[in-house]
Amino acid sequence: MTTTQHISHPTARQYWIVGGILAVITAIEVAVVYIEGLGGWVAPILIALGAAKFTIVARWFMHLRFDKPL
Amino acid sequence: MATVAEPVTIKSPGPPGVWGWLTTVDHKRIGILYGWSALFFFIVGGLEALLIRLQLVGPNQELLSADAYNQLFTMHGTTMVFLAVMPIAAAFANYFLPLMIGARDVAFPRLNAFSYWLFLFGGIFMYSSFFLGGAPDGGWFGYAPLSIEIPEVVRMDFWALGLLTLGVSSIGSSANFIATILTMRAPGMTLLRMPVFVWMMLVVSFLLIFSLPTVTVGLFQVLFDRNFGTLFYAADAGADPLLWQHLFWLFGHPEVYVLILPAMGIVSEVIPVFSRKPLFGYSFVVFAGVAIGFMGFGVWSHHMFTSGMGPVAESGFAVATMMIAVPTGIKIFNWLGTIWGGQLRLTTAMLFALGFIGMFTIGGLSGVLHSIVPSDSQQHDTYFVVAHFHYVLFGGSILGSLAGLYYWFPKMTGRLLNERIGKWHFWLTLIGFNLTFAPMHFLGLIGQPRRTYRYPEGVGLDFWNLAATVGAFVIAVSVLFLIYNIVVSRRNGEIAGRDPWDARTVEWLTASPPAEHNFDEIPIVTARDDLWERKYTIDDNGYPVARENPNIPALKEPDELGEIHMPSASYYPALTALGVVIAMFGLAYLPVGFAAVGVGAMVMAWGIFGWSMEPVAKDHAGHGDEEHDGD
Amino acid sequence: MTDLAEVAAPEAHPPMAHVRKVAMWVFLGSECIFFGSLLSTFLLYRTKTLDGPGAEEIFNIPFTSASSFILLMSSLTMVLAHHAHERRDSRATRIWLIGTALLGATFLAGQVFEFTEFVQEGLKISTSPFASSFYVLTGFHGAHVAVGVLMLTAMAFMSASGRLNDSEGMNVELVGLYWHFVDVVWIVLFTVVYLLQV
Repeated sequence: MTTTQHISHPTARQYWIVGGILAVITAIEVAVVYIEGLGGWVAPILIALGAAKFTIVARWFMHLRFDKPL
Repeated sequence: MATVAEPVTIKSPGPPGVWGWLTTVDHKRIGILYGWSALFFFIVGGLEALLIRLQLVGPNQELLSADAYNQLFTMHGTTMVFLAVMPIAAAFANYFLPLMIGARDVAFPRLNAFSYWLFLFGGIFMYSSFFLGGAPDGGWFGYAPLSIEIPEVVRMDFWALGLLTLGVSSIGSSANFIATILTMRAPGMTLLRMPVFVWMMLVVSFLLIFSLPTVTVGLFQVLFDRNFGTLFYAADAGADPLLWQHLFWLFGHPEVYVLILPAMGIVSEVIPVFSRKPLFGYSFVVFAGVAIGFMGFGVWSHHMFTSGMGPVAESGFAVATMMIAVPTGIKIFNWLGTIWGGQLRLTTAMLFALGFIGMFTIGGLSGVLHSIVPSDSQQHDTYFVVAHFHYVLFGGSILGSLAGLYYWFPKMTGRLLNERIGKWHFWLTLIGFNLTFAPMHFLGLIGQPRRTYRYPEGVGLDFWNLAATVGAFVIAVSVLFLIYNIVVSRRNGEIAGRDPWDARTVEWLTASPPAEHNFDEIPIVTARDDLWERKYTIDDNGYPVARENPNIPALKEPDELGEIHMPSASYYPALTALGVVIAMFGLAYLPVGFAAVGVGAMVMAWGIFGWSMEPVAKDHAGHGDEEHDGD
Repeated sequence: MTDLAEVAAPEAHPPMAHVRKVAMWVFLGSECIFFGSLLSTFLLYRTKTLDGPGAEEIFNIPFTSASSFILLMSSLTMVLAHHAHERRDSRATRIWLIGTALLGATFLAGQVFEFTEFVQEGLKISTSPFASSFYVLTGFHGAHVAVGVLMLTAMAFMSASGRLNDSEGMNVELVGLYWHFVDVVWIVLFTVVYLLQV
């Protein structure tokens, strides 16, 4: 991804898909809290999912994926 | 030296009068405003220091009460750090940073003006507390929970609100400088051709951007604890007072480098010019500065070695503190290498730069002693620490800034500072400084504690305290020499011309003082010491020889210039800053102050609204001398 | 070096949109440390509940999940506003801007409701270090959302009167960056403050 010089900006359709993915991750997060029997795995899973959302928003919505390095 | 004959008239660009200065967005004028304000606060902070020294001149003095003493040392520290040394760096950075990278102004001229007014009003705000029931008295570090339990109603509120105001100002100017340096350099001015001073200001700006938020959070917590009943530092509720120390020093230690790096940058400009040699190991100096910036965030807990953090943390921070001495040492050797074999000219600027190297080295060495935990535990809160950081801050930052003042004054005013008075100023400063602070090493090792307003007779402290007080008055005399020199030379100093020092960097390519647009034509930079390369080439043995046709463009008359768009003057930045400070006064007197908060918020809203609706550069026609309409 | 002189246009000012974006990113970097410090305080005090209620007793995860979801979706509408603005579709820009502002306002309303509930259940700001750090952390985030809502509304009005200018003042891209940042902060807070504490 990073090797290409400039990726053209995504379409509205792609933004909707990204929004959908974010919604699904949020749903999984809430589910993880209520699922019994995950034991010590709850925290790592939640942190990983939060980090995924963070990355997606920063790279797609804040356009870090498309900005040229300074 | 191949200078062109210049016209002798010196004209100060920009509209005259108070209104012209109040509404200016010209980075050079803002730099001058910073300079005068910093000098004013430096003198006030110095007078506070003199009072402290008078109280300590002998045992059991009764000049000051304990309460007055607490206010004075708190305000002395706060003033010198936030209202004197930082603004001096801001003054030079504002004036010279755009000139040195070949830009017409900073990226956001009105934000720049806003930062200045916020700093000035914030300083006045803090000082108004002297007349409103007493100044802050909890130390410049404001340790919690002491800062919360101080019985006087508003003192530490003034301190916390004042520092928050100054913090916003610094964040604004740091973002401004970073954007300017990263995006507005002249063609050919690559990052590794930038003058070292610009590099150091880039590092300083990043340090402020990443360190101020932590103390901001701490200050909010103190403020909320004092006014809204939160329990951030209520030890009886299970809160942890060490939290404040971490939040404060995570800002406070990078802040130390914020204070010293600009001086290092100035010295890196001055020494090559007066040695007629390029800076030895330019990239090492730059990367050492960047390394100091990074490592500066990893050493803060060495201020807390006596707070019981445990051996692991203490060892880690001790090692990090020892390591940060390495890049600092690299720089010192680079300056020595530059001087080595150079054709030295011992002007006042050069003398101050040499003084900087010597004094800063002493301060740096006593600093390394503090990284050794057992030794630090002995020195903690004694005058040994006071001696150390004054060698770094006065011997380092102040001497470096004075070098910068003597070096750049001709560019700012068109006239040279008087060298004879300057030499007196230098030697008095150096002698007074050492007489004041060298004895404090001994006092500290004997065991005199800091922030204590009296000491008993016959414990061996009398002599060195007397010596330090005498030294403080020698410094005061040297400052009088400085003020006299500035006042006299501004009017009657020798005409400088464009390039009085045969300098190396492009700020000397333009007129002294520069026109509002800085450069008639933006210079195209082809080398690290661009101006030098325009004037000199080297012979077979590597010695400089003057070029027959130096590439120095002639200055143009105003009617020869094409149209250059400069940002228009605006009073909204000052208005917005005024709104902020009115709100701060309200917040200091909650809950009755809510009315003032409302008024301040409305003034702020008016300022921000006008600011965002007003175009950056108005049409030049019809706005020659802008009249202020009645409202 | 004459070739350099020919290539470079010395009078050309860098595009202001780019300069502003650099400054905005720098500012957001500063904000990261700000919220990081507040969050560290919360993590230090999360168990210091004294006699008051703790996280597990008081948090209403389904409710907060819903309001988090609303804020997350406002990032989507924000990016669509930016997208429309880049295509010079000012009507769509306005619709998405107002939509984003409304979602933000809904989130704020949810926070007000949540705080009121908590206070009624006995968690006041002065109840415990846990309460102090919780309210100050989420309160500062709420204040950031409120500022964002104001800017979005102003932006929509400016777009309607044709004053939206990319090179001066705040523009859609900068407000967008700020808004996404506020959203990203909430992603972290929702995970660390709410989900990991129950």
